[in-house]
Amino acid sequence: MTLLEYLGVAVIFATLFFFGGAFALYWAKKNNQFNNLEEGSRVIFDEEEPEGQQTDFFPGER
Amino acid sequence: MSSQSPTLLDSLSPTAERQEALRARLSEVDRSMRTPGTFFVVAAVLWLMVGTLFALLTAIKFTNPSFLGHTEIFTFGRVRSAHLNSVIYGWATNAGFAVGLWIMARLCRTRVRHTRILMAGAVFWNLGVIGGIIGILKGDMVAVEWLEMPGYVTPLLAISFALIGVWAIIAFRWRQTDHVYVSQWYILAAFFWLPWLYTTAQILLVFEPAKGVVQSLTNWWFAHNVLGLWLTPLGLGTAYYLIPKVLGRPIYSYYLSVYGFWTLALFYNWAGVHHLIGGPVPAWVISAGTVASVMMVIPVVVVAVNHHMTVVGLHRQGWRSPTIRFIVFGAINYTIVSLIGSAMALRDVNLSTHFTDFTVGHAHHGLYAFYTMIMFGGMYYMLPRLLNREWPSAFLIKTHFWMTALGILLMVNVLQICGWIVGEMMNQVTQDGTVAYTFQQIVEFRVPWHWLRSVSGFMITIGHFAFFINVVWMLFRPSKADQPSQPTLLTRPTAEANA
Repeated sequence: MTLLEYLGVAVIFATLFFFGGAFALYWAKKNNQFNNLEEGSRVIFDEEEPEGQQTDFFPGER
Repeated sequence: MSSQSPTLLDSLSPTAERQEALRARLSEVDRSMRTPGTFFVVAAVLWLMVGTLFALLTAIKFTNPSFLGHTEIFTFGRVRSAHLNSVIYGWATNAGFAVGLWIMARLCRTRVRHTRILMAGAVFWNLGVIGGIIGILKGDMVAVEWLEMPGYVTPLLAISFALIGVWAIIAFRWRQTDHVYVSQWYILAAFFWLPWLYTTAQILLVFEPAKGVVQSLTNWWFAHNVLGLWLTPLGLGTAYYLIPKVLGRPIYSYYLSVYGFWTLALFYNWAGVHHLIGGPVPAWVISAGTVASVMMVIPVVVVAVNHHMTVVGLHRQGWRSPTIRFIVFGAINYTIVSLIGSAMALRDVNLSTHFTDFTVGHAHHGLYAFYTMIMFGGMYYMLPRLLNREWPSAFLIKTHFWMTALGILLMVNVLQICGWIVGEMMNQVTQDGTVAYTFQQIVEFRVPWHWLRSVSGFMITIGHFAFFINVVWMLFRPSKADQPSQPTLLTRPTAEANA
């Protein structure tokens, strides 16, 4: 592969990476993913594994 | 569309709408992930044992070069590459599939759809890695670091990854939540980045190899990014999910965590070329790599502040959790290894560390002390929930933790101190301009350090055996052996969940 061919392939993949990232950022902004982040940090909790309660212990040592 | 078993076409349809009725409880998600999750964990643990065996053989050869040296398949070059590929594509990737996909499913609140596709991908991926390792041992190795598996297995690996990756995208597409949590960003990005890296590298290094310096640049761009854009996001995504989850406390600064993700995406993919500092590469390329490596301090400090501040004040409680022990150890080492990595990308520092054990120590620091320890933590949390049974032995978990933690700390310190001294020895010249130390003297200096490295390897092996026994014991013990009080599980397993 010549340097020019190499650059061609590299530019295609670099463009994919760049525009993929740019699109994800645009999508996130458009869908309000950066709004109300404090509430977003709590989505991992629910009634089965609630906030304020430790959910992992050594077996037999709770 | 049936809410229980959507067809593949339903799942891939771009026009189908979200149905609130499909939102699953965490225990339902865990149950749907039981078969593929357990398969990935078992495969990962088996590869861990295989990779450990190759690692020990390699380490022993540093002090006893003739050990098993008369058999072709056990010569240093093959065993070392077999170790690297079995731990990266066998252990680390299977572990990432297991924990990453499980966290993705939980955060999307969606049951695992099309388990057969995921299982087919899982089986073929592991067959591909088996074929690759046999190929390496047979002597069919490709002379490109981190891509040594022969060309005849790579299509199988690529197709298998596509089957597994599609599943992650389907899960994200059908998520039943509005907010995309930071771990989802990390995991989803990782599932896009690896095929992107792998395809580029396969084209430019294996099928139509670029020549000369460009080949080396592509090689190190790829190798560094497998760690930076595949394993690191999986490790960080896991830590960002499990630290707050186990402690029951949200991330200290969620804003910073999101910022950290985007800065990692921006800077990490530039950094790999710092492996070629001092090589015949245009200076601006190396400078760009050095700048990106130093800019990585931003996401690293963000992660460090966030993880530390989330745990602060809860250390005593956290110590009682196997998951937190492993993950906090991994998170602390992420900070240390990344800051050392940024320093190593500076030309003056690299002058001493290049071509020495310092780099080998750094690689183990990143892949083991950071990534592997976080994956152990992830599995300690995940497996009881998938199988609805408790870990059989706290003693084995503690043995696993102490042996691996002390073992890897010893290994990293030994290799990096030895490497730094060797770097200084190699750079030292006498007044008449000749080297102060001969190659033989430097090799002899390294021998006691490598004995210590083998000792650290034995410690880690003991830890791995403890983990292996615990996993096998957990899988095969009768379910009625579970005790009435379930310390790891929040709720007692029900008959329905065991069905």
